[in-house]
Amino acid sequence: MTPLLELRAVSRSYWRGLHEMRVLDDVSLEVHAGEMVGIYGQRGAGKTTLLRIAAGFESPDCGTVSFAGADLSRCSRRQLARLHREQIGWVERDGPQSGDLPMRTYVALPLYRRHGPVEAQRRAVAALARVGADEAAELPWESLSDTARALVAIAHALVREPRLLLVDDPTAGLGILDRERVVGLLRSAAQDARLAVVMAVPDMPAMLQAHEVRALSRGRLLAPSDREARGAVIRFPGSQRSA
Amino acid sequence: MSGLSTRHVVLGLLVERPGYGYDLQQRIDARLGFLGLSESAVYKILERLEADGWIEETGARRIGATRRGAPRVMYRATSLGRERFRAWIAAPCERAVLRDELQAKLNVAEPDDLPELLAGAEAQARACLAELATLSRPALASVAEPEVPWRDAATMMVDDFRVRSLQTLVDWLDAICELMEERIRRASRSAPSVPR
Repeated sequence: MTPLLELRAVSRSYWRGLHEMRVLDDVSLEVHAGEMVGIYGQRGAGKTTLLRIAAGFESPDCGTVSFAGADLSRCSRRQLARLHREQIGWVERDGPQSGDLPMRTYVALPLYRRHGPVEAQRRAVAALARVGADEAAELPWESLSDTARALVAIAHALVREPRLLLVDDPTAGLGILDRERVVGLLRSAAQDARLAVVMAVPDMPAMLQAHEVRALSRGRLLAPSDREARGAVIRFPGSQRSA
Repeated sequence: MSGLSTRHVVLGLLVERPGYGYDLQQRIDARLGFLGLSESAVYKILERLEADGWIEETGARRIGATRRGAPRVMYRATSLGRERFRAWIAAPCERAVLRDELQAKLNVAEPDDLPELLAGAEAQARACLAELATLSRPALASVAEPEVPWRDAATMMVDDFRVRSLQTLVDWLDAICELMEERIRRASRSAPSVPR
């Protein structure tokens, strides 16, 4: 089965004066439909760069990014814009540009072109209900709690019924109960709606919901070691499995 | 066994419900496997607890025999035992110190060992991810639900500690790798020979 998203040997550097900062170093990743991949990394580890490159917002210095088998670097601007409108959902935590927009309209915006305002709003209300943020429909972004904002942001990405969902730190600022709710929602989006989800987080408890786990460390993407591999052993209270 | 009081753990299991040696050892293994208590160690603890009057024989003998052929002796906590158990629960907890082999190696390694230490640290981080992948999904929120059985809720909280410990370990490995790499880089730049 071809992966929906495939990064192959992706590298990316930024220049700060004469100093080259290698943000991503030979990163490869495959994500399939119905699967949620969690990427753990501390602040500045390169999580956002990785997601932006996966989305096609940014190009790698070398390596390839394919979406549904198509090389993103060969897509025209127009094709990319269409992908972002229809197939790749980016969970945007900044909210709408205009402050007084009700969330029903904000969530509907990505659909205006495809479905017209009436149908777009109908779908937006349904999407808000699906993530459990019905009460936000008539409210502006400013009046929402952090949790409601996280849910609305997910609805805004999901409303286009994308095939791939990219989520950068969805639980920032949330408490334990809300964090589980938000990450659980992403997992069920992957499982029930057969989406491919890539979620980057700086906290490990959120990673437990992922089907696959990776860690970004010094620009490199680490995969779990083979359970049988020798060399590194962790013994934990109560863990007979890891010996 | 320093720090953690295994006799209070065994006592606690008998406060929960009466039991015999093999059964207790199985319950400890499932919940506190890291103690590595053998069946014979459990029998020794039972003898001491009985001598102190914290537990007593119920008088009931379990049908079936132990491997040695003796009948199984059922124990239960006495009221003194329950009192001691509550006192232990209420007492301040000792904090375990994580023993990490990489820390030991760092303490005795030579500068030339840096590349191996780096590789070892990375392997350890990958092992952390593998460990993370074996842990079940959290339902930590359900700890707050009174309908969820207490025993399950307690296990979830202990698992949460493991996840957070893994995070701490991965963050530490990440930090020291970055520093060691930078040290190697600077050493190769500044001098033809690696400074010691």
